[in-house]
Amino acid sequence: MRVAIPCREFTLDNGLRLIVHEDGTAPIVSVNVWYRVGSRDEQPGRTGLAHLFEHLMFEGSANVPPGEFDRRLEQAGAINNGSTTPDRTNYWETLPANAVELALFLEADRMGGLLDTLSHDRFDAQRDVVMNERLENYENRPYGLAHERILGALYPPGHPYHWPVIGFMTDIAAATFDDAVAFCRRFYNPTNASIAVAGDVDTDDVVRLADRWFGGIPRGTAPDRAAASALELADDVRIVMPDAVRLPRLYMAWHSPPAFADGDAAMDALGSVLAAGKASRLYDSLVRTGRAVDVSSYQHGSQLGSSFEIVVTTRPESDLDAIEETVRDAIDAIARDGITTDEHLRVRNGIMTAFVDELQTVGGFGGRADRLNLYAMHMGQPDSVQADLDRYLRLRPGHVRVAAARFLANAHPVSLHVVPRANGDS
Amino acid sequence: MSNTPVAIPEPGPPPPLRAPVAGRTRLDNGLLVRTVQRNRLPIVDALLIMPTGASADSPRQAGLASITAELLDAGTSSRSQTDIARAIDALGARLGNHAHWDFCALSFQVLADRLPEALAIVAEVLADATFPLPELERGLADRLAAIEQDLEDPAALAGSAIARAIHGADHIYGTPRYGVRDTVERIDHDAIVRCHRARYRPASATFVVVGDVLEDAVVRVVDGTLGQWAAHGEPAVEVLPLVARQPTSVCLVDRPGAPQSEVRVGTVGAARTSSDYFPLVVLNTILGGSFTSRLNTRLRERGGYTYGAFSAFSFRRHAGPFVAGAAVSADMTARALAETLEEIERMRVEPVSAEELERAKRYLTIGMLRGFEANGSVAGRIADGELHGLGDDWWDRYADRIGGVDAEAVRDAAERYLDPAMLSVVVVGDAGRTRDSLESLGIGPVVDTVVGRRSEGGASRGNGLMEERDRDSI
Repeated sequence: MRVAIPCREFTLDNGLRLIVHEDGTAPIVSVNVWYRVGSRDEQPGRTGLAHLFEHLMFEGSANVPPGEFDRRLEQAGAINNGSTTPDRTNYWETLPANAVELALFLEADRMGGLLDTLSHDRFDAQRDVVMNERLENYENRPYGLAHERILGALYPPGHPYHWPVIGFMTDIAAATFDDAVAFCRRFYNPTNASIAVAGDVDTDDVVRLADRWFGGIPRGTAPDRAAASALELADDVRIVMPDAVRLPRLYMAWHSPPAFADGDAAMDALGSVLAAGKASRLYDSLVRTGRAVDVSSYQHGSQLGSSFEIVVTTRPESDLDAIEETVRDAIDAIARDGITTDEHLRVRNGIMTAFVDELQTVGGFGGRADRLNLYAMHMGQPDSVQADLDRYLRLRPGHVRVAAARFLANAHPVSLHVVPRANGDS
Repeated sequence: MSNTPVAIPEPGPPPPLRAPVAGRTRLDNGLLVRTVQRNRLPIVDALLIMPTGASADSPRQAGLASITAELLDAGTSSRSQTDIARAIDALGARLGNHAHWDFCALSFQVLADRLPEALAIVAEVLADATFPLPELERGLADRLAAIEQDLEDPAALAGSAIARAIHGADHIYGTPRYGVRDTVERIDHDAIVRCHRARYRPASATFVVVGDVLEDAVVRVVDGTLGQWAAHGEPAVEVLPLVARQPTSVCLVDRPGAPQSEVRVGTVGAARTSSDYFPLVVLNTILGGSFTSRLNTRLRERGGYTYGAFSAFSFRRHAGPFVAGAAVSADMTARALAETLEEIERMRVEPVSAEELERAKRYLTIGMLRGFEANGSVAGRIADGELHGLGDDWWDRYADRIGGVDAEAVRDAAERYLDPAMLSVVVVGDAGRTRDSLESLGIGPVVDTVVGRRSEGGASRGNGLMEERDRDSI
């Protein structure tokens, strides 16, 4: 099957990478900026700074008064957002085709002029917002702190993936205005960024506008980033975490190959065979048998090394040790006997549909503009969607068996058992 | 950047909207087929809706429509649940079956060349679902477990408590669509089979296909599959009582030690076909339906004590709820509530500014273009039009109708819908920390409220009341 996101690539004089994908199917454009900075670039004691800084990017810049960033975009009928992962921070606007220059201007103004207007008041307010974000999405939510515990056990202290993107509460609270300024000076410059513009545009126009608004920003330098080699756990790690839950939940997590590296696609396929849909192996052995309410499994791809995770939410009366045993048996069976040709066919066909589906929209998280930047960062070439799909189409059942054996059956997981809090626990 | 100020570029005129034109064919069994041909990608999104949903559930059996929808693919007379899943997965298709308040829906996505095979399976599932007992019992037990878990989720607790406070126990909107423990315990095989027969019927259903298809070919294939689907028994009848708005009180759901409070303010809103629809949409965009809205600006951007504040009207066939809310720092609970009530009141007493009005209208009318990009979103809009009888020119007229809303229309709608004496309030948080300050607001009695033991339960998040403005994907 053939897929493509046809594009042209340019580099501005100041080092900014520009990728333009022309497609006039809908009168919509997405402007999408990736900075090569994420939570892995933080220092212990200041975790959460990359994400807190992402919030500051919406608070006004040299020629954009506070509040005006969002107001101007909404007034143009646009939506916008940003997100932070361990590896990167992204920002996007999805606009009607007439407003592309507005988005380019706003992105340029905050890339080059954020610190001209950033105030202590705005910094303090966003630090409070982020602390509330942590409370809402993690601390005051059932199972909300599970991933933080898993990361802490999977990666040793000091490893750049040891802490959660949102950061620890004490670190967020301790972040200062000066921390934000230093972070901006270090990471936010044209050579550390890539901008993708996708949709109903003329490439020459985009190049001209990008040059007009971004061209004057000093180039800066792309900072060296923390590296890390492949990790293995020396032994099983088992954690029991009481929480405000009624249904016990098992999390198992293993180290697995980095995103787009050898074995990454096989692990992805393995996740599908284990737990995608009602024909999957763990649905069959855990949900169909009435022991669990739901099960999921996926390869969580990251640049320095991924994690492969299985999550089982059980019935109140289920025993998590027995559930874990069943999960291990399912893994061992695949590591020993491989997957069936039917399973292989189901995974392959599902992936083809998913690839085509993801090409439907230009904007948002995972839209075509976002994918161009994703591929530019991980695979070098922005239009690598065919190469990405081919990784899956080339998979044979044997690849999945080998991956299951090497990365799961013959390796050690972190097992986290989230259990209902007994009376008296807090 | 240069040091002299630079003017922010003004966008030119927005592109004209041409809503996709959908073909219309009625099959012999009454099924309406609507087709939009789009050939850029070799994929098809399809959506079948049957216009009787969870609001036709008896309040005694709340959850029936959603359980029935969920179990639709649990088996037919010739295939097990696993057989169906294998067949669907082998086509690379994705199948979804859900009950909403106003309708039951079955949707799927598949590469265009596999559409006929996918349709054959879908038609079999629709017409011949048998609801095998083991799957049914498991489905009910899973539902009860999920309801139990939602009692620990502050946002879910707030959602079900405000729905109950607004609509009361006698109205189905006052109970979560997924049911609560005792209503789900009353659901059995017989009820599910009757629900299936009464609500899954071709004569009132609409099948929307959007994607890489030719209309004639699609109609032929649909006629050979869904065209053979026949109804049995009598159709469901939806009887909903009218709801009287409740005088203001504060329901306090205690979560000892909670670091945040979930605050909700709500009242009865309007139906989808209400003549007040457009003023209410503009009103809500300004109040809490966009990032730059008054509530989000005041509580988040200025106050910093929430990750986001929102408001939403849930426009259903009958008047659904209006709800505003936020998750706020525990020590800011009373202040957040007071500010939310102030912002609601301000909508009633002073006209919105020309700048806010213009921004909201442009956000809505230009932003509406995005909904015609993905096939699934187009299908949803066409289905919505059929469901509520909006007419094929709905989107072509949308900009003019939003454009016709002026500041006085917004204020007038706020005055009529957002009466401060009739606002229900819910706070899910640490009662010991918040009760005194809530009482000192003097807005109504503070009533300790227990959610979920028998007659109430939890709705899950994503109940249509949340405007997602996530600035963090982790």
